[in-house]
Amino acid sequence: MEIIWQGIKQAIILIFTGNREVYEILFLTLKVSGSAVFFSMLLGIPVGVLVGLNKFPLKKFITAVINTGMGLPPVAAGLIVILFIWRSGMLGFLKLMYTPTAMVIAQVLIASPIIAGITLAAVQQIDPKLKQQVLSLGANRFQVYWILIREARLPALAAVMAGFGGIISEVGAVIMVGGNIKGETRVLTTAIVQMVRMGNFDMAIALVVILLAITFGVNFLLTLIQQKEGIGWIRRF
Amino acid sequence: MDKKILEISDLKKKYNSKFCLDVNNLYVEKGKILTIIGPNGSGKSTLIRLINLLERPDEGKIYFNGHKITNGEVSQTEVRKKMAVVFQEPLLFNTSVYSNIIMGLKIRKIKLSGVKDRIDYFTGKLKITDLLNRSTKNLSGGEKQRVSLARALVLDPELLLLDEPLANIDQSSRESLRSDLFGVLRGYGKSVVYVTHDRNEAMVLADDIAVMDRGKILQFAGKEEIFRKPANEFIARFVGVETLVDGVILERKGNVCKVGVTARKSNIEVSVVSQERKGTRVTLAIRPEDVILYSTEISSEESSAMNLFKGKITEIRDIGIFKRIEIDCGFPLSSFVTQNSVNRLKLALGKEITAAVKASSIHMFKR
Amino acid sequence: MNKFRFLNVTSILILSTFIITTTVFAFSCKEKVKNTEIILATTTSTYDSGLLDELIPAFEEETTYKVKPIAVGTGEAIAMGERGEADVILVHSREEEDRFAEEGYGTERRDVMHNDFVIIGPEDDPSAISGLTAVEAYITISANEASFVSRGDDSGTNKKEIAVWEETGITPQGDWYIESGQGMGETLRIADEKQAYTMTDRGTYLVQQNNLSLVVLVEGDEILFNPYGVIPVNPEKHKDIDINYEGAQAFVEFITGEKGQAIIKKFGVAEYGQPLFYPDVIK
Repeated sequence: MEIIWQGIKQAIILIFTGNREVYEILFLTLKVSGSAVFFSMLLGIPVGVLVGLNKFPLKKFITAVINTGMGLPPVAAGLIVILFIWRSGMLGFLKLMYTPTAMVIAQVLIASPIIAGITLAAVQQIDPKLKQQVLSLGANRFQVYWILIREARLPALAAVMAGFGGIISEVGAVIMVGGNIKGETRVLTTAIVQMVRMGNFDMAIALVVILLAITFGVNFLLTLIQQKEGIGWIRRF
Repeated sequence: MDKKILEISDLKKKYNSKFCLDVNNLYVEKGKILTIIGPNGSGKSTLIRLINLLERPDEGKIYFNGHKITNGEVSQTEVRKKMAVVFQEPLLFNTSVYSNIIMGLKIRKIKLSGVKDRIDYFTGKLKITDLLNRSTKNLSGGEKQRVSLARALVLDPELLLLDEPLANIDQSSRESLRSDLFGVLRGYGKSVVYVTHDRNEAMVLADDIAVMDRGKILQFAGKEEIFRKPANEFIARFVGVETLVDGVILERKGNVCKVGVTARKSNIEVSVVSQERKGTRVTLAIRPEDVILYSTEISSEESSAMNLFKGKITEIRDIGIFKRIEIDCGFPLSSFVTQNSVNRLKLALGKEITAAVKASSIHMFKR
Repeated sequence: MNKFRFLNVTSILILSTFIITTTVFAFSCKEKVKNTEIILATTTSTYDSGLLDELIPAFEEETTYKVKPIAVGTGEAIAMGERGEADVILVHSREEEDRFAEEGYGTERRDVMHNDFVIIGPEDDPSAISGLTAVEAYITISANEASFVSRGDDSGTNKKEIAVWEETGITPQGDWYIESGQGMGETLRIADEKQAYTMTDRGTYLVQQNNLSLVVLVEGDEILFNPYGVIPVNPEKHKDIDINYEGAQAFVEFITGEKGQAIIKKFGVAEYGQPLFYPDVIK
């Protein structure tokens, strides 16, 4: 218990004195997971919307694939990525192994199905007659999708946050493709592993505190947005 | 140039080989209101969807403003931008009321600044000015439908399509919404197709009426003609004819036919204005409003009606403003009278009464 | 009505700006010139000691190379070298290193440094192994069925432990013999929790000392000698892969040269009172 308390005290000091290593790790984490969630959104939301709103022959099959992807173990995603990008792999010439880019790729692989799957489910909840109403208002195909995505904006936001939460707390894939190199590919989760291995508990706890703060903050933001009734909460602003 | 804003010709659509929509001729004149009435499942909503190009017919043509819109060349979106549809469910978006109302304008890229007056006008007429900033989530059914109506009206469409807009509203809200909506539509001046299963709405609103059943148009005519001269028993009942009796034309003198009606005891002769031939089997339709009651024997000076039926009152029913009186004069005859008349004539069950019906008021159709 | 829209638009703007800037940064992280990169495969215990965090920056300052140390188990490090996924390996498993060089996967094996393994255990030493030789200690532990934690992960440390067992002629098995399957740090913690015996490299023990209640009981035995070797990966074996052979050689020269050896000699002395590694080239 003493160690935990010690650790927490030290952690507070490290965080508030702007310890360089801590902040280096924090910013890298945000860059990597931030870009990953951005690209996952670009990929996941359109796929979820298109599959959810349209009827086509392989729809059930593709939906199943997306749902399976949602449950893809992150380390499986990591393995798939390294098989492509290591030196003897198909994309070895790109020299992506042990780079932040590789980590982004692995995280996109993990987060996109999550975002696509939740968006798909959300969009299927929309009253099918609403699409007819939108068409009758004179919307072209693009406008129809845009309006229906906006209808499902809250669940879509939840999907993005779920995707983000999943990748920022992931450690297996990101160590496999990134190598946990200090200053370059070391993010919060992998740094925690390394610090614990080296017996540097103060640092480890500091990083855990930061990681929890981020995940809590993201969830809190989502809850706030979901709870808003009409424009009530904006008035509180 | 063309007086008809919408014309439908030989439109057919099949559904799982069971139900078939088959409309051979229907049109809407510019600036007029066409009401389509019929029971549930008669194909009314399908027709609206076909007009708005939300579905494709299997066969047939639809003309809008003189141009054929059912071939593949025409842009569906462009056609829809000239119309507006309000469905039975409000189908609102989960944003603010104002945002919903202007959604159509935004889609059609109509500048909001130019139509501000229009928006204010309709939100005022539909009494939703106070709701503009609210989210649509917690509105009542009536309020939501008002928003949906405003959304369509602000688009100033060349053709407004309303598919049973009041059907899902609860009784208490329906009255006030109906009055507000009809207030807008009557002075509207634009072309409207109004679908309903409520004949009273049709009665109040329509210029022309089309009666539909099981995918077919049974009768398409001006309001007066539908109500006065329903083409068959189904329509007659639907438009509120209470008394229907079968008979045969015995003879015709000039433009008056004598129809022999099978009554309980004997044959009764009814005079009807018609050009039909002797021997034709017919059904007589008598509207309750056309049956005038007299308490005793009356002379021909008192009533010019050619038909005087004597009978006993078998039922007195309260139907709001009027009282429905059923008389057995050999066949069941219904009449609507005011409470005043009830009192004046001292109407009571079992009382002997004389009912007068003009030969010109009776509508007859072939059986 | 306008308020609502305004807030939606601003939040979208802020969100997009954040996301775009992070993306831009993420990509500006990319290496500009790729062939200055050297992938060094080494073991977790080597890395966890912290030595490379001092050696590598010194090397990078002197040259234009960038070293990427990947810390994995000895088996995996050697496998990486065999596959050409690394440019140079730094491990401590003499037999494996020799085989690696003989089979042509590596060009030349060079000595770098050494330390030793020690057998540690609870302070009260219930099996009384203190002062014994390594082999004797293992025999005693096995006979007493005293708790013993093994790495169980094919690492250099693990291979040394198994080598000692082979000398005893005993195959350790039973509830008392626990295989952690993890790195040295974790293994030490498990042993500490269970108040068990275990074998560790001295370096990791010194670093973790403050967190452990276990003490050194057996040391100095010749069999516990732990030499480290560095071997550049042979580019001839991987014609279709871009092996940074020059970089690997430069790295080898540095850590076996004056500067590198000096760093190794000094490492950890201030903090732990004794060095964690002993340089082998320039003593």
